[in-house]
Amino acid sequence: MLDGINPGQYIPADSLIHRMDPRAKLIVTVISVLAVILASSLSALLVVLIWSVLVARMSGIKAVFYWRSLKPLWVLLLFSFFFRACFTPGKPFIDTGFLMISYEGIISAGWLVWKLALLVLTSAVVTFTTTPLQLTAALEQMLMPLARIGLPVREMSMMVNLALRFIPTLFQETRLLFMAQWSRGAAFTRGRITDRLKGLVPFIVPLLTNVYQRADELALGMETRCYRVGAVRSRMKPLQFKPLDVVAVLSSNLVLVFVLVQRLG
Amino acid sequence: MEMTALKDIKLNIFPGEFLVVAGSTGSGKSTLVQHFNGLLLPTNGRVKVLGKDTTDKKHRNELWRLVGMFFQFPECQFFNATVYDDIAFGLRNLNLDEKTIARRIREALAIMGLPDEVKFAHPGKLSDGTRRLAAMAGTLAPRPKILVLDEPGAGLGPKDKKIVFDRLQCLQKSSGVTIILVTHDMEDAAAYAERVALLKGGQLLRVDKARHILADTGVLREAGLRPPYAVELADRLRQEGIHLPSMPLTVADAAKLLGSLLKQKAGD
Repeated sequence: MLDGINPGQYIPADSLIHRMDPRAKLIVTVISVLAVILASSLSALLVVLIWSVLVARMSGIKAVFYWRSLKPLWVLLLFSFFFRACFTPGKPFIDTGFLMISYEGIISAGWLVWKLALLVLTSAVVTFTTTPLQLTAALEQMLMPLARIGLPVREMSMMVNLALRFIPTLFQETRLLFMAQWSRGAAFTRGRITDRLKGLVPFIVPLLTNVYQRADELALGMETRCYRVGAVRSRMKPLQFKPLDVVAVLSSNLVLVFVLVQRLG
Repeated sequence: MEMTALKDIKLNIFPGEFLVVAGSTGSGKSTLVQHFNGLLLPTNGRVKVLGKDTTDKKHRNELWRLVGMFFQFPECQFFNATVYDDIAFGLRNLNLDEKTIARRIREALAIMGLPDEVKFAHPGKLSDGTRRLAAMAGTLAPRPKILVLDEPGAGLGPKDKKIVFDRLQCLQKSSGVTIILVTHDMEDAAAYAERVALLKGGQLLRVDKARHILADTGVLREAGLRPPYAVELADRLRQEGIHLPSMPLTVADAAKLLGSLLKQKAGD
């Protein structure tokens, strides 16, 4: 039941995007997201679309994967479309008296869905082309200035790293527990809602117990490998901005500037 | 990513037998046995358990009681404060009254050779072996007709492992429960199996009487398994020109045969 869950998983390939500095990727993503949100004219939205598709193409990842990352969101997209279409006043397109859908509503809903899809696409490019390790390294470096005011940036990025590392393990464990308790007649999917909630106990208690045990073992493992809180560690592969990264950041800025000019002009 | 986990498997399991399902990692043995209590349904083909298809919804809902499933490291499934409550979990799901439950728990603990006081203990405070036996009692308490055990000895010391397996064999002999044991350890197969089904790459390589399969080092190696020590020893001896009167499967067998051979030599 939990087999298919791998949201935004890293997909190895050898592309320009894969080779970019993860920090550059994050910066480009933030700027692209801003551009998508701020795009207000058709030409602006087209430019943003072309930019996103171009980046997605350059990532060397099959379109199927992007399509799959959109698929679980169709309910959200449908709802956004529906609500925006129904609650935007304007010239009536369909009017049942109880519910009125306006021309303006349909157009604005279309925009919204287009923008949401672009946002998903943009973030999918990052998660598909960047390993979690690279991502947290980038976050750590970018947040480093905050360490000056006493924020434990290194420790936080280590925590994120560990959390990401254990997601698949937890899924697997959950699956096993589900099977084991099902084999003992546990009913998670039958009966009234209170019964179902009670049915979760044999499932959650051992899951949590195992998580704590694992955390304990992990802490011991880290200590025996001389992990110390607050210690500065060196990197095997230091992050480095290359010309490619500069080009990418500049181009994304160009897109944003175009969008802003359109908005103001 | 989709792949075919099992294919071309035709396997009959007889009531009351002790069958070992053997194969190396990834051979599909766990996947196979998860079909036996309806946890998994075949995408193609049919699985019949106790005469009925597992896709039959009514039958499938009863299967968990008829087929006891014992996973690796079952002690990770404990969620109650006492062993008693944990064994009672399956029984309560059967809607039995507390008196019957208490009796069944006493029985199950006795079958596993555990003292009755264990039921008051916190599962976390027990030794590894005892905890495994207690978990097994929980699987036995609903009185399944078939017991499927996926590597029940994993992580146990040799002594605890022997106790667990001896208890299982004892149960099979005394009450006619069918036992299906999943393992990659041929020593276990040699000591307990009546028949062995060998899996490789999701396919059934061979199924036969244990003494035929275990003595066939070729087919075991093909399946990626290590033949029993006694069989390897007999092979080496034969290469040296020493022929044992019969093929030993366990170390104890081998010791007996060698002992008689030595006595014979001394007598000559």
